Amino acid sequence: MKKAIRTLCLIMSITMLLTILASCGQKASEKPGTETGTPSTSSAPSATPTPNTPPPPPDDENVKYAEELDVIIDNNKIAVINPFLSASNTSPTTWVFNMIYDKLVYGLGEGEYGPGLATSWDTEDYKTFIFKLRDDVYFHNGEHFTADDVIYTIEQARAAEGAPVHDRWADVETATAVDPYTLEIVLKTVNVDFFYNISQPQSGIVNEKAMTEDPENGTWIGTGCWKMADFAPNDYVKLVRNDDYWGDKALTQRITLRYVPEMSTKLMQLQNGETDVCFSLDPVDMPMIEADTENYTCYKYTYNNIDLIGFNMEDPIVGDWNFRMAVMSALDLEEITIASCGDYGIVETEGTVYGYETEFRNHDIPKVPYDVEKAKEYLAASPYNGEEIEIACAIATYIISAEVIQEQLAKIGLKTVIKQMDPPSMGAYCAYGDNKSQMFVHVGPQTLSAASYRNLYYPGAGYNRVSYNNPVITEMLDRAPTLTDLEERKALYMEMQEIIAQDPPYFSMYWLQHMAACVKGVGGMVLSADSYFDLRYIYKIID
Amino acid sequence: MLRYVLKRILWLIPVIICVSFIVFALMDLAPGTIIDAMISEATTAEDIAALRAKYDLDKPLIYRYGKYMFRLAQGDLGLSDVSQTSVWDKYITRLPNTLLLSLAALVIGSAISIPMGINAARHAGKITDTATTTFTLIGMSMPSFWLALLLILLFSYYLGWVPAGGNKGFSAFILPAVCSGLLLMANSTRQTRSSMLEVLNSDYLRTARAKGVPEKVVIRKHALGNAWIPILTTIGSSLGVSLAGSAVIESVFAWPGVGRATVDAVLARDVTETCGMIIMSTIIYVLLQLIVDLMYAFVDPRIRAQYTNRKKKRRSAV
Amino acid sequence: MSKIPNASETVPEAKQQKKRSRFGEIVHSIKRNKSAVAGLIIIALLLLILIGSLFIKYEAVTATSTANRFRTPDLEFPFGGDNMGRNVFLRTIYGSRYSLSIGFLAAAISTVLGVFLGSLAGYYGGLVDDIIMRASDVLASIPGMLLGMVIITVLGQSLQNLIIAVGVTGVPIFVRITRASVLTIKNQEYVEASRAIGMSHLRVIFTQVLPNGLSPIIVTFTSSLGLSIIVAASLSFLGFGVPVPKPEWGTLVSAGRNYIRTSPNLMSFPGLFIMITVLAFNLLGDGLRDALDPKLKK
Repeated sequence: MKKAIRTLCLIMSITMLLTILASCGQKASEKPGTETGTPSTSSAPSATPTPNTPPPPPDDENVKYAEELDVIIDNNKIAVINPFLSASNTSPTTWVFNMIYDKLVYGLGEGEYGPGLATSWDTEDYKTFIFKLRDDVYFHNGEHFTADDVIYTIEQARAAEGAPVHDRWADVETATAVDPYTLEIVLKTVNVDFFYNISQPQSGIVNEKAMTEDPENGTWIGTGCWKMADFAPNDYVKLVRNDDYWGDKALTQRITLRYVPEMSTKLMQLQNGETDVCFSLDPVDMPMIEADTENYTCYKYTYNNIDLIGFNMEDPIVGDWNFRMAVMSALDLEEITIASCGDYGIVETEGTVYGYETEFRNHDIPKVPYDVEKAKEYLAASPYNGEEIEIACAIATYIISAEVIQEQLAKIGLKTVIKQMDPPSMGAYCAYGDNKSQMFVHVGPQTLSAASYRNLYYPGAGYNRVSYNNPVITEMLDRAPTLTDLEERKALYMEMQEIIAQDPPYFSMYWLQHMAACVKGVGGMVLSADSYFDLRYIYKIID
Repeated sequence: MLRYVLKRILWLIPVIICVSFIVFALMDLAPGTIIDAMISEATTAEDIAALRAKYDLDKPLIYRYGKYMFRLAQGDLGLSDVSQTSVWDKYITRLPNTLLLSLAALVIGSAISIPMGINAARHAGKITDTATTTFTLIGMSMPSFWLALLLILLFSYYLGWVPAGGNKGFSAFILPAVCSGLLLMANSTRQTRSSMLEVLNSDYLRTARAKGVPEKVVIRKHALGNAWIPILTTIGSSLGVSLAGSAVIESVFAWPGVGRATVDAVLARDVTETCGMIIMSTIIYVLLQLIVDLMYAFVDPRIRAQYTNRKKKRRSAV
Repeated sequence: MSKIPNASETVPEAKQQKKRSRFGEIVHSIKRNKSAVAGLIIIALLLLILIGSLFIKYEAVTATSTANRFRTPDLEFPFGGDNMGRNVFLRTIYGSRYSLSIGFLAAAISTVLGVFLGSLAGYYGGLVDDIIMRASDVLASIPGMLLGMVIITVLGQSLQNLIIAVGVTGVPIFVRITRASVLTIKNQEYVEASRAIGMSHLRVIFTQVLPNGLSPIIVTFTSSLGLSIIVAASLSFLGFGVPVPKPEWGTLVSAGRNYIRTSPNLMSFPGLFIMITVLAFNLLGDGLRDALDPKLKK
């Protein structure tokens, strides 16, 4: 009953704040110097997932939750619990960050942001923000949360070059504490992606005292609804509920997140009841578990990252437009998808190379149609003359794709050789400035924010492995974050996709569907396409 | 005796220097650096440049190697490039897991192989012998990863007796231990059988029998006592082999041991961690050999005499 | 004007006589040793398979087909279809060339390098011996699988590099064995005699000493064959072997391991082939050891 009232109050306060925010947003969307014009919708990007696993049932005395849960994470390891280290950029690490840290703001979807550690924020020019902070938050080590901790976090982030968190706070010019619970942030330029950035799991607020006292594990201390209990790098993380949390307490008391490298072992442990949730089962085993509705509930989600073929634009043969058209026309994506993903792949049907759920996806660009005869024509028109073209690949799924691609290209007379290597070798092989590759099969990571489009097309960006350098696109990418008007920004990204589609350096093949296999009664997870899952309120109902 | 042990231990130092240089140079030559393993979707060119400076990647190999050796000379294995945690801590936490596996393999292997080998030798030429020999040959010919998969298939999937991996509890431990043990078992059964054979046909045994010593005592005291050395050799070298090959078994069974950790470090191009782990593995391997050699002396008085006389001797073929 | 007999004329003659009779003895012993015969038969069968594989077209081995995915074993697909619908039987047969060639070539590299270094160490002794033995120890101390992995990471994944990596890891044992062998032989009288006539050191090593110390080397060579195949398969299993889509047996087992529950045939048959091949070499090695071991001569 108390809990219901608290929830109700929370919802009411959020609604009130949203209305305030909406009015703030109206002011901010104007160009500086004009009078209040027509109200526009919020100008921050829509970047948050909508919950897609059952939320907890209404508060009921009869509902019993399991006290301890075991989760097998996906195929990535948790190497360090430290957002200031580059090694923390794996997906399951962000799940832990979501659980042990709070952010200043929380994304609510559709470009809306709700309060986190900040209860409200004010801005007139979208450059200077006044954040009002909560005064009833305590870190896991007992320290009282103040604006100084945010400032400290920002400083640490700025010093952590190369780590993902660095770019999250990189827009900040100055951050000053007006008083212990009021923070003034001035951005370097107008940057509409700022709110998205600070709502990300890596932007959790850490405690200055904890960090200075314990440089190695100080990052374990946060304000979140879960506390770190134990950690074995690349093996497991144990968390316990924070019973002094300022918001809603978690529904489970203890949780273990484990990494299991062998697929068959994962399945075994799920079937033996040794685990409650299993991510990233082998696609071959997924149908069996999905069909077993008596014992398991399975939640499917499509991965936002693009599974693509890249063409080195600087290679004389591969960079030729006709050659690329030939390859794209010759590939039967159905066969590739089935071989690589089994029944858990969605064939690409559109022509843009863009994140699956990333905002501003242009659905009007047609895909290059599968036409073997046309492919042979394109090939004849290209500089290709019987050479063996290299296809580089480094990850198991893509190696399988490469093998099928090799077979299909052989049918139009395109000879290829597969160059298999491990991910770091591939990174060096396809480096932007010194690109030795020709074709490659790899992932194109995209977050839900359109700003991540940069990663594939900006000169020198880490994932621009095709040496793409188009000044028109570069200028547009630079301009995008400065546009505070939603419609304007959307139009810009749409136009970019059209321009790129005329001379595409990538070819999107399929979308991987993943599945969280849960034993009966498990719910409360938020599985977003960008794989930054929110497991804070995971529960298992037992009877 | 003490001088011998000391000399062997002192040899470790040049060995470590050579091993570290080889590993360092090879990891440096390998395409791709730790940055390529760490790249995320948001990495910009500036980030990459900053990371290169942080890891001294723009400086020559000698500089980085020098820095590493300087730290190593002070007994510091350094911090992992990836996680900035102590390499020594990681190794020491995971070493017991690998050792546990090897020792279990040793115990299971010896417990079965020695009696089996003796039995085969005693009934040389008969069915028991042929069966044993066939079994050992098949065991020696199996690739360990295949055996591991077959065991998982049989005992985990079909019979459901044990889990397929991880290290929760004793049941998870059985399969990997048996897998390592089977291979060691095959080797040492063969060795036991052949050295028992040699000994059984020897003159002094015939004399003992002629004297009327009961057969059991003949086998136990005279035969086995002399057959120990080659058996010890095999066990010692098999232990070394299983420590080295643990990477494969640990990968298949998801056993959190040292072998897998080193493979991960190589894949992440974490030079400090790879170097540190391989150096530690080398030290353990060399120390193990030393222990086996010392056990020779304990077991065989003739060899003990050799050591104490400080004669220059051939290193026994381990 | 009598011609002083040239050392190279007389001694080899005598040696040849020795060799011929010894060779005859060896053959005779092998024929009697049942396991060695079994080993030879299996090897002959494998060679037949290898020859047969030459008639299989590479395209047949790599042709993908959605319809044949996970096809259960039948007449046309005796070992079933893999996750891309390829014929695992054809791939296994075709793959024999990789495993066998890797085995032979890698063992050959180990032997040539190891014997060369080991004989130098044993013959010259002193500083040369110390340096070679310590270098060999360093190589042996690094865990074999890891060394192979690192070498392949450096050189890149290919068949040749796999052979080099496996060959290098196998050198230390040959150095040790050869050195031990040379040490026993070098003090024999005929060696002294050769030196007395004025034969150069190197010639003495390779014409006098080695030929008489061959037995342990031959035995080690056969076991090294089997070991090389296993090491190569293990490296392929971990993903460091012959690049796809070449169907090396270790790669096949690795590809099949994710499907052991639903299609165990994918990983069991290639693994079986590995085992049988290595078994054959071990049997032969055993037989040779028995045949060459003077102590077992009745």
